[in-house]
Amino acid sequence: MLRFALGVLLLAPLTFAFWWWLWMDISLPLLWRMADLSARWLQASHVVEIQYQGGKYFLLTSLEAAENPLQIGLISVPFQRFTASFPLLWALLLATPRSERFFNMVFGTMALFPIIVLMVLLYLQFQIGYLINQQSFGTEPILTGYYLALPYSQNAYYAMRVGRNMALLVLPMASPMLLWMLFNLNHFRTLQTEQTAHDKANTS
Amino acid sequence: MTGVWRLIRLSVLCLALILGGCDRQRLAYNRALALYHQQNNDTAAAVQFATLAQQGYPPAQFRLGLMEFYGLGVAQQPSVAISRFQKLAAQNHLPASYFLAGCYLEGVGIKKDETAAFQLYLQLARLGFVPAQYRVGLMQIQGKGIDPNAQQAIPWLKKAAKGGHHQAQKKLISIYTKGLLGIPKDNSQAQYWRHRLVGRR
Repeated sequence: MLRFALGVLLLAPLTFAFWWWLWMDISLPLLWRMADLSARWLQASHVVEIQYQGGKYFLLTSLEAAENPLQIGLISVPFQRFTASFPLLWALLLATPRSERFFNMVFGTMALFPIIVLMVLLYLQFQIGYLINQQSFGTEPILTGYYLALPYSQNAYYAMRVGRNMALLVLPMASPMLLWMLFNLNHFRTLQTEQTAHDKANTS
Repeated sequence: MTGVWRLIRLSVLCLALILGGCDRQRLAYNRALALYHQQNNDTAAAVQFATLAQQGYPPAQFRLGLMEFYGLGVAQQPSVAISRFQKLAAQNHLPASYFLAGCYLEGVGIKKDETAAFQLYLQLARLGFVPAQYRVGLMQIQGKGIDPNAQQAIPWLKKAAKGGHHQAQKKLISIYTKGLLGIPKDNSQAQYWRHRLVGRR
């Protein structure tokens, strides 16, 4: 266990450096395409497309501004922060002793793509709700212009806020750990069996 | 293995349902909207909006109306646009109703009619559209389209203010701080809306 913890501590800076300097540029175009396609199909009522402009990603909504309906709502999409799950997963997988590292790395990385797209969709759904309802939340800036759409019910908006927190705070950390546990399920089962045997020996 | 096949079959079914259930007109409308905003191709976008409008798709009818109103990609013809908005407003189309109400209020593209504007705003306010709630409150204070009545205006302003409308919050602060329109001064109310305005509540 100590070896694993030390391994994660040593490898994390390396994987994060790889992610920051190289992987982000490789993964972002793919994630953008996947998120754009999914958002256009699944959130068609408000999503026109996700655009790439001047090094930044924006969601073009079909929401017309109340005071100038020729203008439509734009939402910034911070893809980078969602991709931080990659280096965390790699550090965990590389530090795990006696595991099929190559297989786990490839399949883990592939499995993270749809999970990150889900995070992006949850985040965008909140941003759309925020644009329509205009109710301040957390660190989001206070908006001033309304859009031509009826506000979501308080319950629906609450669900969107939960989704936003899941996407920004829970899933980026939890998904790599869950994937890592899934890949090492046998190891955890062995640990559990050993613990049960140990407990039994102690009680008898 | 049977489980895997079941999962694959279920995924294909879900995908078919998603694709089959998708609003094709909405997707075509979004493509036209992207054409207009990304490429600034007014003429091509107007053609696409017109095609969808002919099929009776309300968002495209509204967009086409806007382009006709401002003369973007098509010849400027405000009267045609206004009649388009009137038809849409009769179908309770929110963007068209709100825009039309603004036209009636300002007398742009149509003869000024504050009563018609008030009625449209009231209709939208009752549906829960926050900017319309503010307009109704304000028009009741100013006596535009309806006899002035501050007592009836306050609940609408409060609804709009609760919906996060800054102008409504500022109006309430000023009313309660100075005791305007026959409403007695109320420092606790003024303080409450001041807190809402800066986002503390």
